[in-house]
Amino acid sequence: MPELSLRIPAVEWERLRKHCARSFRGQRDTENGAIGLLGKRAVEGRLRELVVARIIWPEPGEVQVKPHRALTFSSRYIRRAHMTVRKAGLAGLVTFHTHPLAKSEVDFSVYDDEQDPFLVENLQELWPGTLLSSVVLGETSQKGRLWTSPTEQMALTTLVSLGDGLQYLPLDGRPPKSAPDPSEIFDRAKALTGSGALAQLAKNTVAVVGASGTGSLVCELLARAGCKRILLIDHDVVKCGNLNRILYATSDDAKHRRPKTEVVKRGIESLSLGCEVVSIVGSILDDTVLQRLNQANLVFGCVDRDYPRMLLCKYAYQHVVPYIDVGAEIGGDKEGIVSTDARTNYVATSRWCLRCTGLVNARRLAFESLTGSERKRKIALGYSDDLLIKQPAVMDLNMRAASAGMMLLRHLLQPFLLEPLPVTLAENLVTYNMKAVTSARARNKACNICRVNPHAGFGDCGEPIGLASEVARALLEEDTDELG
Amino acid sequence: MHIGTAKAEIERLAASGIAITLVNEGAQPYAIVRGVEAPSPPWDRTTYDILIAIPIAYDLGTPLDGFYIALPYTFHKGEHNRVNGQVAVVGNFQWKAVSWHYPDGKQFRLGVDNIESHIVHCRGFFLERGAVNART
Amino acid sequence: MSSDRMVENIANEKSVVKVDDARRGAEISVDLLHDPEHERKHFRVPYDAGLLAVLDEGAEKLGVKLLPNPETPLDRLRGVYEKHHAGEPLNLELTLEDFLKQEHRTHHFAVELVLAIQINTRWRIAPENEMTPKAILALAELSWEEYSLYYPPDSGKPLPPDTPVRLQRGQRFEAQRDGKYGDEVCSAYRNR
Repeated sequence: MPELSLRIPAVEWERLRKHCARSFRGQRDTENGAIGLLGKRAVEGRLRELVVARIIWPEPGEVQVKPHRALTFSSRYIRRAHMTVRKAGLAGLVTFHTHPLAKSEVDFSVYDDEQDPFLVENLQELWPGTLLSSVVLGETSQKGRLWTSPTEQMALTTLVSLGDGLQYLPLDGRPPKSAPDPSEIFDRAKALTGSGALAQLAKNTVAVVGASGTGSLVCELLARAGCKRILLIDHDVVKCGNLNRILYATSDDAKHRRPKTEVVKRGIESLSLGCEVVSIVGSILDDTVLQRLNQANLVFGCVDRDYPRMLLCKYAYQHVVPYIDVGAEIGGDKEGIVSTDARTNYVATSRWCLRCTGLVNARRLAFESLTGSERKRKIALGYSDDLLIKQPAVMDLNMRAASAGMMLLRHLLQPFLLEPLPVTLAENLVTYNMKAVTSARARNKACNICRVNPHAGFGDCGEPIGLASEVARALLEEDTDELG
Repeated sequence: MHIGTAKAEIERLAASGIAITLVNEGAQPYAIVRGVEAPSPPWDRTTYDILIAIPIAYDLGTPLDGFYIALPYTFHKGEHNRVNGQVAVVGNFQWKAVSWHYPDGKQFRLGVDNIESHIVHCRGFFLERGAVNART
Repeated sequence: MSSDRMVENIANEKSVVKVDDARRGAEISVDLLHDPEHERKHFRVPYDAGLLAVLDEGAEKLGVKLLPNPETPLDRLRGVYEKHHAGEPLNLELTLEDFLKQEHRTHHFAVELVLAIQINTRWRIAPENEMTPKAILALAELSWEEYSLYYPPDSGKPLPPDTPVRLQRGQRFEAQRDGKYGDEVCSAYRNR
């Protein structure tokens, strides 16, 4: 049976655990719980993951415990959540409840088994197709399941809590295994054999968007760290001008204008490390391509345009998926080179998006999202010269960015970096300076991507993120270089 | 799909009585606003139609900038020095780009500004500010 | 049986209509029960048509809508006999021909619109014009101890269970269930 996991923003998970903590203080009749709204992620129509968009916290009296009887979520509480699901087009509800006596392992009771089918039957009678997931919480464990009908249930395998950190918790009712020795994340043998946190990487599918200078390097780093499946996305082909930085690219590839993704796939698979590379020749602006990110558990952004970056940000918040953005920039003027920056940013639920960090420039984003003829007229007005500067790009600098991004990924799997993670981790080799930028300099509380995103956690139930294919094509007409 | 916010704003403005329509020229969306008031003289008419390019990323909170004026027009029986851009043909009409931008420190604000406030900004061009700029 | 043969049988056996008339079906009339304002309607129905079709067409001619739908209506068709007496609700599976063979035959029918209400997807005939939410839930085989009733259907506030509600034909309620969970102690207690 395919694995089905439940994603949840870390802030919601932590608050839920806190809300339920009283249950485990050794007193009777202390069951507690809450209801969450469910989004979903599907691949080719098949449900792959559930996403907790947010938790609807109970108001006084909406969750009651009757001594020796049941924990009751009042119909009013369930209705409040269900009406939100119905209005927003979400997938369903998830109930969380505690079993106070479950100190170690936890399981659904016979009573839970009896009651859930009635609840899902009622929800589906009111709103056909409503999914009901239920999660029972022990003190150190949790078990989850999904009801697709009153008679069909599926086990949930993993709870993925995402925020400043990335946590994988089993949903099989057993307490999590003790964390491996931190040094194992760098263990040269385990990178390939897989154990502890690296085993998690082996289970994950990582999407790499951009298969040029940085993207090709990230792919190699992932493969050598033990990643077994990479989705590699890029619309462009190898040209002579890319040969200074695309790993595995040859002059023959440039001559035949082979797709960058195919070239990198060929290179990675030739390593025989057991890493499959799925080559997707297409632009991430195109919604049909972007939807394929649903196969991935984590996204690396290796693009040099702001529009794809912002769409990846939007995807990260809507799907509660971690997004590591890496990039390099050589700054200079007639006087000389003033900066060689390699940078990595970690974007995730509750963190700042790339616009709020100041990395994405609103003017550039507007410019990139005009079609060719409109862009030309904008250029003719003479106010867009700074947006047209072609950045130099070299492999040595790309390596620094790819390396920092990969270290950040290792940290997410098994923390070792100083926390909290900075907004941006940037290295300027001209000044021998590694800088952790801790404040988002363009922060905006009204940001509809990372602060007040109405579709955060909705997954596929939210609005389409990418563009219609013909619109994406129109934008690419004038802009075919994916990454420098 | 990608400019749902712009569509919704335009529908709301149209319902409130503003003569505004959303048109597409290829994949590029534009808003045509009819009847923007102008003092005559110096303008040759009392109202003008204007064209605003909507960035495809508008839903992400991308700023609007500048606009086009419907041709023909005259200002002081001649041309306005800020109507200096290229000519576009949209919706079977000719439009000329106007160099009319937000000043530094008063940029289009995410979450605050929208198509409606941008129309107000564009209207400023026809009033004293645009006219003064043209004379100096 | 072929329709010609059937028509012949009707003409011979019952001697109520001529063959030509039989081919055109029976002329019937319908009234709307309990509605003195309506206008009686006359129309022809083939003999092999079911009474369900009579009800459906009668309702259409009278300008009323059957609930919940014309295929499986809760509304009823009755025969109208001497002194305007409306008989028992008719079995809608009968054909008009079979009905006309019965002893108390009539070509005069009445459409009775019942007080049909909807609870979630369940349609029921309300026995009273006013009912408490508890009784409405019971009508839909739902226990008030586990469900609350909501009206209007998008309301988030449950109706007080014991306060009668005046009902209207076609009114739709939503019954939302409580969510119940309990640990093994709870299960053991319940199984005792």
